[in-house]
Amino acid sequence: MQKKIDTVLLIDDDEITNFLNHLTIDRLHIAKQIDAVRNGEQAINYLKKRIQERKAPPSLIFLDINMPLMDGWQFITAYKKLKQELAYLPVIVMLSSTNNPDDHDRAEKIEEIAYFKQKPLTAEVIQELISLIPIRLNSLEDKV
Amino acid sequence: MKYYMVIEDDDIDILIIERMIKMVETSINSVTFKDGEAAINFLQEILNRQVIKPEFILLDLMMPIVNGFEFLEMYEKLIYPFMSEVPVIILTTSLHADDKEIAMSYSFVKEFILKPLDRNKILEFV
Repeated sequence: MQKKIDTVLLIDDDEITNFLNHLTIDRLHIAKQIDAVRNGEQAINYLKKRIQERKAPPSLIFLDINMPLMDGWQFITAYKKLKQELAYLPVIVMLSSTNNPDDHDRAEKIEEIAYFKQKPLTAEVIQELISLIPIRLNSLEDKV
Repeated sequence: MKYYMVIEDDDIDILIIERMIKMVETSINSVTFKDGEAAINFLQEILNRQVIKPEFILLDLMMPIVNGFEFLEMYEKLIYPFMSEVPVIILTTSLHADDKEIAMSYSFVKEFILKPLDRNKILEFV
């Protein structure tokens, strides 16, 4: 059976990128829900709302680096402060549009960032990531 | 996910188009582009990623960078041969007979609609 996760959160200021990533994930049928926000601040508010409403956080987060208001790095700083309130920790994948090795090194030193990948986000990369994500009990129940 | 493309540089027009289509068909999403070039880039990415194609494309003729006519040329050469038929619907204020003739000469252009959009016009293509 195809492995399925609950929610994927896309964080990117480019609406078209979010839309294309949404279509790519949609085609793979691996997520029940795909949400998108435009910057780190919106993403933090999204997670806070999930906590308030006692909803599970997304299983997988794709995080862009360069964004207005709150970029990918600033998001991680804010995320560190609220992560203990989450029911479980999402797998965060940072997406880079440049080949800047400094970004890669910086991301590797941050424990909250599980993976660092180059854009564009391909179906192959998504499938590889999904295979690495633990299936949670709530997902298993849905399969019965 | 069902979606359509809007290629239109006017924000108010985009808002009207999205609202009116939503009233006729609630289960369809829109993705908007302010010029033809951005739309062509998107369509090429759709082909590269082999993801679901749009239901239809709404195209304004007067736009910056790559205008509607240039878009039609590029679409015919770069996209249409590789994507099974996605109709293009022209939405314009142009009353020039020439404009209509040129646009309708492309086999994938299915309608030439004068703004403002109304429910009956939408039902022609949704």
